[in-house]
Order: sequence, then C-alpha cells, then structure tokens
Amino acid sequence: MIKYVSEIMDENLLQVEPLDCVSCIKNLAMDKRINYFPVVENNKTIGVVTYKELIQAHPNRIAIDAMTQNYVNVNHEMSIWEVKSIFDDEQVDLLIVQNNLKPVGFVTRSLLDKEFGKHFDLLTGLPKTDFILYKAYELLKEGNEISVIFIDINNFGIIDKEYGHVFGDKILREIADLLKKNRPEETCLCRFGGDEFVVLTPFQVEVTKQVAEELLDTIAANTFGSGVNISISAGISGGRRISARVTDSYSMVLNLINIASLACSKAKMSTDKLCIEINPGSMDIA
Amino acid sequence: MAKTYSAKKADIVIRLSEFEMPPMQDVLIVGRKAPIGPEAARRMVDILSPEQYEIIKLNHPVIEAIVIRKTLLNLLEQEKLIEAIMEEGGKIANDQIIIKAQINITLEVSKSIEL
Repeated sequence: MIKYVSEIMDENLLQVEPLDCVSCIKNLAMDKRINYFPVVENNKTIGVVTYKELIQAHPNRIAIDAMTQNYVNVNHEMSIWEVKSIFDDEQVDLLIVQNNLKPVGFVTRSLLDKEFGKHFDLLTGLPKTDFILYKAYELLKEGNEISVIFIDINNFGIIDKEYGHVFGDKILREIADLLKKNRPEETCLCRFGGDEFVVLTPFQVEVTKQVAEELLDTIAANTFGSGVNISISAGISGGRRISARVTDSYSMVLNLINIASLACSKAKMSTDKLCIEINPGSMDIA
Repeated sequence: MAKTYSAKKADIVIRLSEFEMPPMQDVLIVGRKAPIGPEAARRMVDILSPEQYEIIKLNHPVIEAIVIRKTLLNLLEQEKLIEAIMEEGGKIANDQIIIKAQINITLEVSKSIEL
C-alpha cells in the first residue's frame, strides 16, 4: 500500500517562538539532541531554525532573524511519492510535516532517499507496485481513464534453468530498459515482482491495446544475448469510468492489476500473447 | 603607634538628555552576523513607533537588510535610495556590525509660470 509521509517522518523537532533567542535554542538542541525547530507565530509555521542556522547565527539573535525559509510545509496525509516530487521540483532539503497546521515532524532529502531505497527495484531501477497505486490514484483524482497492462516474460523459469539466474537477471534488466524506452510518456511502469511488469496508462482500453501491441512487438524484435528468443505476454484490464467518485482507489487499482494478471495468464495460452479483460467490476472503477 | 585614616568617596556625573523617539534614526544597516537581526530591530521600534519602519532584505555578501523609515520611501524610489545608502554604508559595514544612519532628503522644485 501507499506510504504516507507521517509514517516515515522524524518526529524529533521542537516548536519555538519568533522571539526565542538563538542561544536558548542552541541549549535546547544540546540538551534534547534536536536539530530542527519550526518557528511558529499565530499558529502558523513561519520558518525553521536548523542546526546550520544555530551554528551561523549570532547567539543574541532571535529565532525570526535566524530562521531559514528554505523548506516546504506538507500535510501529514501526503503520500511519500508526492513528497518525492516536491524534493525533485523544489530546491529544498527539508519538509515540515503539519497536522492541522501544527508541525508534527520533518523529512529531509536523505531521510527520503533512505526510504525510497525500499520502493525501487535494485535490479532494474524501476519503482515497485506502490508507485503505480499512487499514480493511479492521482489519475483517478483528476478524472482520467485508467487501464493496466500486466506483462509476463514467457518461459522465464526455463531460461533461468537453462542459462542460469545471472543471465536471467540480464534479460530482466534488458526488458525493463526496453519497456522504459518504448512506453508512451504518459504511462507509468513498475516491476511487479519476479518476471512481471505493470504499465499503467491514462487511456481507454482500445488505446492501451495499441500500446501493449507495440511493446510486445518491440520485445519480439529485440536480439537478446546468446541468441535466446525472448517474448512476453500481456493482459489488459480497464474500462470506462462511470461512477461519480472513487472512494477506495487503491483497492480498485489492485483489483484491476489482478484482473490484468489473470488476463495475462490467459494470453500465455493464446497465439497473439495478448488478452483483454473488461470485467463488469472494472466498469465502476475506471 | 600612628593612626591610619582611610577615606572613600564617589563622584557622580549625571548627563541628562531627551530620549530619542524612536531610539534609532532613519536607517539601520544590519550585517549578516550582527547580534541583532533586522526583524528584532523592526519589532523593537514597532513597539515604540508602530508602522514606521520597513525591512528591505538585500542580496549582499555582508549586509543582510536595511531597516528604513517608511516616509523616506515616499520621497525617493526605493531602488535609488538603497543604492545611495549602500554606496556609502557598504564601504564601512561588515557582517558583524549594525550601522545607524541619518538621512535628510531635500526636494528642490523650481517652476516657471507664464504671466
């Protein structure tokens, strides 16, 4: 499931007043081993004094004259993917997490990097499933269509057994790169697990089918090492969005992925290696 | 045995003068590492003379900001005034210092009218 910023934030901060002196805050930092001090005035965070400001500022100064503005306030219910996009877009190293405008924690770039190590697949460099869940949620929130392509490498178990797992890993990396380069910009790609990948599209099923066909063709046309023939199967799920509002988009998207994975299993048996499922349940979803 | 005498006295000097209102003049030039920051200076003066001063943050290596009397900005454009202050003040300022400056602006207007 999606992780929220409140689950990864560091709660070791202490609120200070604008007129608190730097030397007092420094003493607090030493005594309580705290490095981040949001400056709050009229129930609003107006700045932050960090250990950097405590080192640089004259001890006689007040917090408001020592604080930095180089941070962003975020809501405690923000997903860690949204937090990542803030760090990617803004030149800040610190986010202050707020609950009802009250600072309750902080996230630094290094803290987020550490967390994100868990959300990216080390072998392929692709994000894991929760990225797709977040992106699907965002698309649904904006009123977009969504469809899911579930991709599975055909006979990957046999490739592993015949050529070894190191070779298998090389194939996985190569396929991940091909999918990355050849998917449309508007789509999102993740490694679902093992030899399975998921592509989320903001398109209706008909357009998604074209995307899947192109990806299948790309993989089929590629020459892999040792002259091994590699092909993939794909299952598609999706449908027209007819419900007014999505209340639990995560479980619905998981359901779509599940339907697509079952379609993919069917596709393996078919000749064109592609199967589309628009089950009645998905009509309410997307 | 001789007696010893000790005498202690204190001289008191009193200088009386009128309290300057507000206790700063027209402009404060605040260094980046000065013991009092621009916001502290503004708030201090605000209590005694509310709404009279404004902070102008500067992108300068040693000067953090200028706290300036608002009425001066009614007489001259901010950019020109800051340039004039910094031309002189910037030469003597360092990042630890707070300099107070008095500024008198006189506008001379001469007009001819047809008779």
